Amino acid sequence: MIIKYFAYIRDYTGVKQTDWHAAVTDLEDLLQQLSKKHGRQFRDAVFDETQTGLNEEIIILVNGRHVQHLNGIHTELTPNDLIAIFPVVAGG
Amino acid sequence: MTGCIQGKLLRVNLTNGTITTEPLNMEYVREYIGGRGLGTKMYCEEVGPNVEPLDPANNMYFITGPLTGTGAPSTGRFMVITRAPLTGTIACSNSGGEFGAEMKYAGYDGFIFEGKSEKPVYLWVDNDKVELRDASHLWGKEVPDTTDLLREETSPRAKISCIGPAGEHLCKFACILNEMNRAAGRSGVGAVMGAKNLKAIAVKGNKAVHVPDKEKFAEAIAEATKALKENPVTGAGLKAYGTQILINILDQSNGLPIRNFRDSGTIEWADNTSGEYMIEHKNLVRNKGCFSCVIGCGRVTRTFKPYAGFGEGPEYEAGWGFGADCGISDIDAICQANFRCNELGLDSITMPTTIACAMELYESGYLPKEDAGCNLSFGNASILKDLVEKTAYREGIGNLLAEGSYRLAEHYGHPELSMSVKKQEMPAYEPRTLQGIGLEYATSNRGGCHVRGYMTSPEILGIPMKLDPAVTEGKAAVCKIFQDLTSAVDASGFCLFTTFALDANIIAKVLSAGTGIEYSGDELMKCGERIWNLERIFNMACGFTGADDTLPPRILNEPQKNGAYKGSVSRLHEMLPEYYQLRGWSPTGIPTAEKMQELNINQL
Repeated sequence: MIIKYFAYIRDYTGVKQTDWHAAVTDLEDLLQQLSKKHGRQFRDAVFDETQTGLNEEIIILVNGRHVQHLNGIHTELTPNDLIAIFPVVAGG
Repeated sequence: MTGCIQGKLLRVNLTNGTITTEPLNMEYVREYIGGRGLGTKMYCEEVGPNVEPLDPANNMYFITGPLTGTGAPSTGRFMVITRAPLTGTIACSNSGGEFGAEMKYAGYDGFIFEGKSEKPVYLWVDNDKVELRDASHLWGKEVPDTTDLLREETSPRAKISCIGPAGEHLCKFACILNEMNRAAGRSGVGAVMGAKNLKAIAVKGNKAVHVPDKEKFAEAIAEATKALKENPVTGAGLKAYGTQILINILDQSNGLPIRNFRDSGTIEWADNTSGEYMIEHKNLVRNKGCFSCVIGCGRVTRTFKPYAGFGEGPEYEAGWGFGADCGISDIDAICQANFRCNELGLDSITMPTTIACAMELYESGYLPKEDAGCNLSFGNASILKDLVEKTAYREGIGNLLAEGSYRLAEHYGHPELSMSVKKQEMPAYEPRTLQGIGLEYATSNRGGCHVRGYMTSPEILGIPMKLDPAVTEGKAAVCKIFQDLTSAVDASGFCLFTTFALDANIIAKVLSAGTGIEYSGDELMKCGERIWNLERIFNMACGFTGADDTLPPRILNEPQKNGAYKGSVSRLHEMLPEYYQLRGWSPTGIPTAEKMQELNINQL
């Protein structure tokens, strides 16, 4: 599984990309494990105040699809998945 | 004067050199607000649909919004309204910078240009003192030199709008630059200025812009400013990364068109052309804002050998255009080509997308090497600067590039390879991934354009709601709302980017407090709908029909080859009938008599 980070999320992780080999069940599980690895700022960026839901100001894509249109924080993951994590950004 | 509206227009007849002032029609203001709306209304009343874009009778309207030049946040906008050389539709090109605010300080809500001067001239507006001056010595000069020379001979404080060589050579997508790097960019408004022999406008003023109730206005702008600063996009993201931040999210969402939309979706080197990379690679010198802006999305940038240069930008669409759309991954080459567009006065969206079209024609064997004069293959970064310069001066292959992608592709017998709508090129969002953006492109009143109802916002960015880009259900309704809101915002003087944080109610509140004319959020939206319908009526009077509300055959018929949306085409046919119905138009896209009456629009 490859996890890519963008914009100021990179400031929290210190890397642009992680090649993830540990077992995960779903997105919530992955984000919990990544939060342990990358710390408080990362955790606060991806989780809401309850620490169980997704922050409204985060965009997470699994294989190019926004998780909102999959199964949200409970989206199941497989070893070949590509995960992309963005803060809310815009332009045009 | 009504609140922040100066109540006065300056009319310049370039044929006989007369300059007059006249009062603003306040009935128009109530219904069309200003900027895009007011300019379009005046154009329709005074010119109509029977004048060709480069005819001297094609008037140009430089119109501010009521809020332009006030202390309201991010309200530095003015619009240029005329008939477009590129499309033949109504053109409304929107620019930031400081020129619009200075128009207001000189005492005017707008400048109107009629006719054609015998020789090159520029207009010098110093408050009430207005004169046409000879511009023979400026003709042929690029935008930075023109701007510097005009400041020397008028005032160091003057704000300058001008064309470059591209406008002089009637390039169909020439733009108008103000403060060197802020553009009224699309549809070829710079060519109309060139056809009039009008090189530039210099303006300086020191008159006040009043508001009827200072306390009420201060309260309204404080609310708007707070919302803009607290929003993660307008308060932080755009300032830090600029609009080029979108490269990665569109790429990761499989929504980044690649190589003239031929290889759509995503490309492995996208990050090397991104806003993040421009910081890492030290291209970014600093950020910059337009007049009264609290966002500051502008980029002052530099590039390194072999593409060394200095300037501003690129914005996302130009960065994508010279980058992914041309198959080019070198950020320095991309930025340098964008610098040259600004210096020569070219629309930095149509320029690269026309080059991308030429590259596909070349690789397909339709555009012969002897015509190209170079290796026009996708990915050849070394030719970008030269192609931009050739286009501005109409030299060699540049003479065809200067016509835009549709006429270029038509010349070589393959108009289907132009990725355009109504002959204006689609920007950087793949309609086979984002179904809603396809509807927006197809129905835009100025052809392929992302800032007529930015469906990318809900479909990719999740603002203000998260819509699945793959579905068509419900998109027609959202597209209509976005188009109407955008029309009203463009009329008000606010920058469109404020809508990432402000809704119609806050915008209406600021507009009401500034003008003293009460607009509710619903009334603001109704004004937007009126503007949209007037533009539509004008285009139909010019001969456009519902059949023109379409997308290139590739987008409708060629499925995406890979990625998350493999197999997908635009399903425009699923959205368009509902869109027409919601608009109150006939099944063939004609505004009904009832809708016209409801909006108080007369047939042209």
